[in-house]
Amino acid sequence: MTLMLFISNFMLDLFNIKFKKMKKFYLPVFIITVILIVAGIWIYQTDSASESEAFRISEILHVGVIVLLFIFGLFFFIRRIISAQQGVPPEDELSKRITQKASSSAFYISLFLWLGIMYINNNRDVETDLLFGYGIMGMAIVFALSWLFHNFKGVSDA
Amino acid sequence: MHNRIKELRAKHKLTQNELAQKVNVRRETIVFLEKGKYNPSLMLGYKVAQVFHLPIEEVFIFEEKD
Repeated sequence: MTLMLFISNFMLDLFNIKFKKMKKFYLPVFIITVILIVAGIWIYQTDSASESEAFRISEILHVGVIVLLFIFGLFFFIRRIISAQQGVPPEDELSKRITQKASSSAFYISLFLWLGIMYINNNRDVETDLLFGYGIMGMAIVFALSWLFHNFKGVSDA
Repeated sequence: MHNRIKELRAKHKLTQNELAQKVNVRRETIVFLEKGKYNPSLMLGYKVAQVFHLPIEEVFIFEEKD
């Protein structure tokens, strides 16, 4: 019984150590890989344009969101690798401030985006999942642009 | 507020990356500091001043606007 407890504790400690290291570096890669695999399987199972009718716009939007997520993940992963090679931290106070500012700006702009989508929904006959797709894509693009803007402008509070 | 980081860095023959490593921030943070696009936290300001062996008031100069 004692031996079993000892072994299980040892395995848990090993798992925690490995998981903490994995969490910091390899976990983003793992998540991106899972997303790509899921997206690939989904695209493979969807009817292609050559076999039947063309992709529905909603499917293209879904793929677009996944591609955007992949690009984000790849960008931050490459950034982490370069930071590790240079011996500097991947995140510091400035990068966190930029992310905070970008997030808050993107939130305010996204409110107006959804108001616009609601207006379109009330005045035109558009599929609901298509509108949701536009909304999600729009929010991702707004955040990306907001992040780029604050990254170049800086966050001087003076 | 402006600072003398660029001048002091050149005097101590440090690259932006070397200074970033010493104060444990990204190189971009040093770039933004030198351009005046970012006001550092007290801790970061203190660490930068320590690298140059100067008091913080001689690295970061605060000017009151009337």
